[in-house]
Amino acid sequence: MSSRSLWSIVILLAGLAPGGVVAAAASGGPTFAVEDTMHTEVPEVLVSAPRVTLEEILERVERGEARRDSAITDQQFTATVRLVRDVVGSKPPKVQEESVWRVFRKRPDKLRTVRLREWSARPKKGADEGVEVEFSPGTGEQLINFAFRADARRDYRYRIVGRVIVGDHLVYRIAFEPRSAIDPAPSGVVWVDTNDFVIVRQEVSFRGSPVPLLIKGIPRMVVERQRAGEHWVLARAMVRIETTVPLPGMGRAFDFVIRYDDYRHNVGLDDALFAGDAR
Amino acid sequence: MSVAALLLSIALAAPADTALGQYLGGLADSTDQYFGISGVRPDTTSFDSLLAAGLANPNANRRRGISLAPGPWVAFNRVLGPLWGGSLTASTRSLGALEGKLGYADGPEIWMGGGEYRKTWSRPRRAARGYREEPDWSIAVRAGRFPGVMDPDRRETALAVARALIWGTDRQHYLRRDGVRASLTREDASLRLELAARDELESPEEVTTTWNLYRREPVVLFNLPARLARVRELGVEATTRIPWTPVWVELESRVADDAWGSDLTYTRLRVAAATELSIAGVAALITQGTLGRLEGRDIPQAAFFLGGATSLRSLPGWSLGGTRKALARLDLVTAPQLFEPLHLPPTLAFQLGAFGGIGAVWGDDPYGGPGTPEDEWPERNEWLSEAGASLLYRPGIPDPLGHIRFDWAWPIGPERGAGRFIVYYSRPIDLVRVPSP
Repeated sequence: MSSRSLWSIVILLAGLAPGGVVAAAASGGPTFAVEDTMHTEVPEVLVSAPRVTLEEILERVERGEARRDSAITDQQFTATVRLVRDVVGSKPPKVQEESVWRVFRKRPDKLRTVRLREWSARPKKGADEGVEVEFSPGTGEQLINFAFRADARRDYRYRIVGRVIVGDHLVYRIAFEPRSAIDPAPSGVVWVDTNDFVIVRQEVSFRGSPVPLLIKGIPRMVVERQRAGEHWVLARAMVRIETTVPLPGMGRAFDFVIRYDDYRHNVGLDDALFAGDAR
Repeated sequence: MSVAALLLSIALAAPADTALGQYLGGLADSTDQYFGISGVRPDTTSFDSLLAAGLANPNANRRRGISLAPGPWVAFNRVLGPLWGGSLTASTRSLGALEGKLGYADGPEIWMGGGEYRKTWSRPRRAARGYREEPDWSIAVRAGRFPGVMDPDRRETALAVARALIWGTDRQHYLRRDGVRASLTREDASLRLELAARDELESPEEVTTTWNLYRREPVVLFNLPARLARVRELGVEATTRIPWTPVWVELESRVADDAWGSDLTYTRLRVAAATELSIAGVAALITQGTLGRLEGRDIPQAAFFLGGATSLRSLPGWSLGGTRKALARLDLVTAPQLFEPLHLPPTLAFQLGAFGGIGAVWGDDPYGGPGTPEDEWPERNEWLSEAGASLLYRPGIPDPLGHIRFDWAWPIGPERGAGRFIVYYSRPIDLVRVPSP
């Protein structure tokens, strides 16, 4: 800091302090003082280790996500699928549809779902006419890492937008956007925990409407992960959609949410559980 | 001690995972404020007993074995006239879909239709060192009598049907196919591979219908007759992206041989390449080119055509044909965000474009002209070139990448006609069948 700027600060601080103003007025002119009783010196530290590059981070995220997936041999969780209408405007939000499922998965492609609740504000006639929910037998969670797969890297551009130290975790915020100027694919930001190099949160945004004819916009989409034992897994996927025309039973704006709770992993699910339902 | 150091010491003092959990929890809290009741935990009352009951009864949540979906089957062109019919699709998750179609073509006064079976196998991605994409495999088998278009490189679209019905601007040429065809397709984000075989009787069709809703005279009053023949053909098509480049390439080969009992013997080869480059994030430059070569005499239904949408747009569709083809095109398409300063409604996500192109067909002329030598490149004056401007609108459905295009195209060069205005629906890259994202 130059001496001129240092003096400027001192003058400014003196002027702002009530006492300073009084002292100056009493003596009939400005009074300057320099604090010389405290002295701090911070030694220079030369950092010679190379900073990890974005390319390295992307490769480690890809490997970290794959490692996360491969560590899960079987999985069970409770999934809540919810449609909420009137989320914009003066009316209070109202749950339109809700279904709750217990989902069982086992490598490589076994899937069993048990419906625990099916509720609709407008009940359908047939018992099977509720919300159609199709779960994947895979545990790769493409919803949160779709832009960080090897074959997606050529289609996206990435940049580091922030780093934060949380406990002994270094969390990187990495933004991604399609390379193409005309591709309607989403952009977004992910939070990467560099201890495991897994994505722990994602905020998705769209440069325009993905379906301009029907969708006015997607103001917000968030995908969250949680730690369940040793594994990072989906916690919530939430998206707000505003439509160009009111949709029957949903209005002009609605939230679509999938919530994942009560995980259990690698308990050795019996193959008999999936009898007749395996793919 | 500075405030930053104090905060850092507090953060380090907390258990690591707790600290990260609190950090993520803080972010989740702001999300909760935005989404409100949408993201709250459900009431779990009686879930345990419901789960026990569901596990005890494996069939409780199983969907019906077969779902049935009826639908219309309608078409219109100057050969079929109106085609009225319907379809019924029976599908199961594990066995695929079987679709039956039956319709009556009012022009030739014949019944058409048949059955088609389709099945796709998708597998979850496999985690290895990195993710390894598992391809989708699909099979399709079709049998029956169906209308077809003469140009093997293009398919009839709903927009073409609407144009024919409303204004009579129906330039495609048609034939009828009776028989069986099957295809096996492997597709992932980088490679699309298709093997196909067919055994079909291809029959010429005549113009039967000249009316349209605007009562205009149809722009084409004849239908290029196909050669009546039983065709037994094998085909292979591969589309892939050249590693480390943005270039897509496609190779297609179709072979029919009398040794297999085919009335026609030919080899049809087509190669194409396309690439899209972003220009400062505000526009895309799309470069495409294709070459075609047909070895075989007097086979209009295997010829290459030039003109119209996805070809040279200043030339009326299917104006020229030959046994050799070369076409190169350049399209500049702006990003939708370019219109943001105008504050248009999001629904009106228009884009602007400019384009140029050059192409030629030569060799045997399927329209009966004298033709030109096959083994020499065309004379300079036989190459046709164009330039034009576009207004594009991407509705997002049915194809997320598809645009409705309003193109004004002007021919370049002496003794070429006036400019043309055409409306059509296509992807920005339309000479290569890039796998769906």
